[in-house]
Amino acid sequence: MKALTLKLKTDLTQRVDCSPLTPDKLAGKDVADIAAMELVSGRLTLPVEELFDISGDDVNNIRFENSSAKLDHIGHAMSQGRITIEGDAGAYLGQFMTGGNIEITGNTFIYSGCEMKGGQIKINGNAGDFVGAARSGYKNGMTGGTIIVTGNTGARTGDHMRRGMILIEGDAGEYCGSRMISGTIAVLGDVGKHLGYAMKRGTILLPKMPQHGITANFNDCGSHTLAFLPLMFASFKKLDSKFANVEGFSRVQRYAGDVGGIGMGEILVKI
Amino acid sequence: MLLKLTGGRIFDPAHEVNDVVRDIYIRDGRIVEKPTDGRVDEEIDVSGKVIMAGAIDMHTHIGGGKVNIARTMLPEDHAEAVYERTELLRSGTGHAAPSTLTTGYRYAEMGYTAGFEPAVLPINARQAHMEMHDTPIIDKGGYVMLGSDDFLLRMMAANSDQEAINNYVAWTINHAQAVGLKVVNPGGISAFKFNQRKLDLDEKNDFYGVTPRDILHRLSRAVQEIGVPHPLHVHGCNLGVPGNMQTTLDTIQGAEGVPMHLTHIQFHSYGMEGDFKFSSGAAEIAEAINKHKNITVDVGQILFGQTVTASGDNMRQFAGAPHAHPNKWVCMDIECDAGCGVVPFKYKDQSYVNALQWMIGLETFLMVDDPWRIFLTTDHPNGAPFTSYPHLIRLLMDKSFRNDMLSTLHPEAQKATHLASLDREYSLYEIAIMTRAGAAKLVGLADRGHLGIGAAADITVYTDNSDREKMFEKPDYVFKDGEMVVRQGQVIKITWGTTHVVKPEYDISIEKPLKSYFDKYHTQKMSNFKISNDEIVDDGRGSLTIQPLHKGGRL
Repeated sequence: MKALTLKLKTDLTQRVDCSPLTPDKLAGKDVADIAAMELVSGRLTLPVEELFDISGDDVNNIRFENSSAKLDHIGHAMSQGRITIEGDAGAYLGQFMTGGNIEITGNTFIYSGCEMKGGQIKINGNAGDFVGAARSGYKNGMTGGTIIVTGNTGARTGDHMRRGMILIEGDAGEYCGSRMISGTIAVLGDVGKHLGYAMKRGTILLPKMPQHGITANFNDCGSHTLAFLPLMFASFKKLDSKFANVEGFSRVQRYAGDVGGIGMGEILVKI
Repeated sequence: MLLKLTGGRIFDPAHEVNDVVRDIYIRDGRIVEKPTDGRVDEEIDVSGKVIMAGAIDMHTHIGGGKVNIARTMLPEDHAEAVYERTELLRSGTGHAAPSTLTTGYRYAEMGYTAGFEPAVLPINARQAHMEMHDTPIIDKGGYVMLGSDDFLLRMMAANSDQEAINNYVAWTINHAQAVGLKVVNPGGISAFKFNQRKLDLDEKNDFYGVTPRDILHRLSRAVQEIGVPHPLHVHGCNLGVPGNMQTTLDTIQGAEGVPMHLTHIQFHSYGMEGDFKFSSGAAEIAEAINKHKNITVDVGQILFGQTVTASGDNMRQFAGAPHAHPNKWVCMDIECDAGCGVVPFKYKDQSYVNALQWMIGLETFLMVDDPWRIFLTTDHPNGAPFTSYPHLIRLLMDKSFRNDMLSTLHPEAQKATHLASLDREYSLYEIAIMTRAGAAKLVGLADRGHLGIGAAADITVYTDNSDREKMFEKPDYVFKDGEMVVRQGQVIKITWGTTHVVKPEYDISIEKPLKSYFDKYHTQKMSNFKISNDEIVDDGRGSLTIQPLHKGGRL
């Protein structure tokens, strides 16, 4: 069986909701069924075949080719299988996903991995704002799974994040880890202003001091040797990421905050 | 255009018609006599079907500031219930706090043709009316809220005479375009701002030195004396407090024979017995209601699931805030006029307290003898969204269904109730009283809630079904002012209901102190405060229906 390949053939004027195109929702469908499925685009609904050239038939392995930043909701609530995207993706990539794998070669728009529960998203490019965050007004962001970003992320990475891991090989934007409840964010590059704003619990791991320093609402708790760090770095070894090759360390400066709230979050900076 | 509904079983308690097969003739939105020449333009065969007037929800939070806050605060309520637009209907969202258009559609689909917003704050009345203006099909109206407003409390602290208070009440009802007067936690909303966290019936507001009993006494007299048919609509003291049934009994006693409507009585019927220090006071409350013919109540039944509680009672909402689910809430003052508290809530059937609340509501329904004095509400959305009414009707009409539900609830709560031993099952006739004839009489709607000659042709046609939930959730036809708006539970035509108001007379001299008060303290001028008739009628879509005052009224 060959991967089900959806090659975008039109220049989109409106955004397209791709949430029906996941391994779960396509299970048991043949190519003709898929071609006839309707996708919501702006105020119209369009059949899949009008937007995409379709080839292959393995619905557990879906490829989007020539993808555009107007394709929203790819991998919506998927629980298994694999989606590969050649090009960019729009907003809400992998929203609510509970399992499986998404890999994209380009950039993504806002809310990648929004409220995801499990599985893995690898973004080989830049991600927009609110990676792994909660929808606005909601109380919990991602609650499981892993997001790897090889490029940079926008503002509010991991907003309201509750569990799971966000690994950023490039830089993170402003308000990284804002309102974080738990979970782990690691950034190899730099981070923007207001790191850990209103953070409750959770861990932000940095190999170097951020350019803007640590804000005043985090207390310096001194230097520590933390035994869990080598174990965590060992767990990165299996990932297809720069993090697999990072030289592990266990000596860190620990900052606890945000003391404007319950102050149980931590920023760990390598020393 | 003369429309004939042929052969239906009529339930019209206002005329003591109980299950009588009769034809109904409709012309120009009204029910008319059989034409002498016997000529009809259209005939619909409804033989064997149950025919009632359109249902009236006399207490439902469908407009005004707090509903909007609930909508704004709860995106999860939108995301879980999204309604796409169709050729006929506009899109909408929401389950516990649905958008205005959705509210109108859902009510009509269940055979409701009127709903009354019970907490119109005078200062926010314009917004409440605008929201109701956007609620299609059903008729609407509002009870304007006084009792914790600075102007009234100042008058009372200065011991103004009753006539001055009557004047102020009549002026407010007129210019807020209301159909009745509501009081919420009398004086308590104000006391909350002076750091009082509870206020019992005979406890003084620290600042004004006025007690809730005084306020109830003054306002219920005012309503009676100016001739407003709807009695003072009372959300009493100590909502939700274990042991509050004594306060409620005192309130009933304290009414001294003056008509008073006690709303969502379920939340005010709690005892303090048992290991959990929380028990049912329904029996005592029902007995007091049965004895005091001046008292009417609506129940405020809770049903299990996610909803949001929205109330003017910021004192009690603040106390309830730690139970918010999801964990976010709002309590605020509204321009020293009143308060507002919005707390999302999930009623759980395995919680002792929630299970007992469910039982207390049903006990009250079953133990109050006179269906003309008790009304079917969930205090939408506080006890449950209004869309659960068909389920509630089945609970009332079907004892075995009720007991099956009961047996799944928290076991300790089951031991604390004798609901299982209550054999009463409501009849269709009694349901028609509760949701139609009685409600129309209570609100003071002369031409609604009945099927007599001259009545507005708000008519609901059901297929009799022993599963009452199925029967009431999907009427065959709903007519609003003579036009068929729903067929087989689907909206097929959009109309815009009228706004019911009363216009009690007042002495214009009240405007002198009011004008300087507005100039000195309020964010708007008195002239802007007044809502003109034109604003309600607006684009020709809305209309005003002025309901007659009671005898004794001065108009």
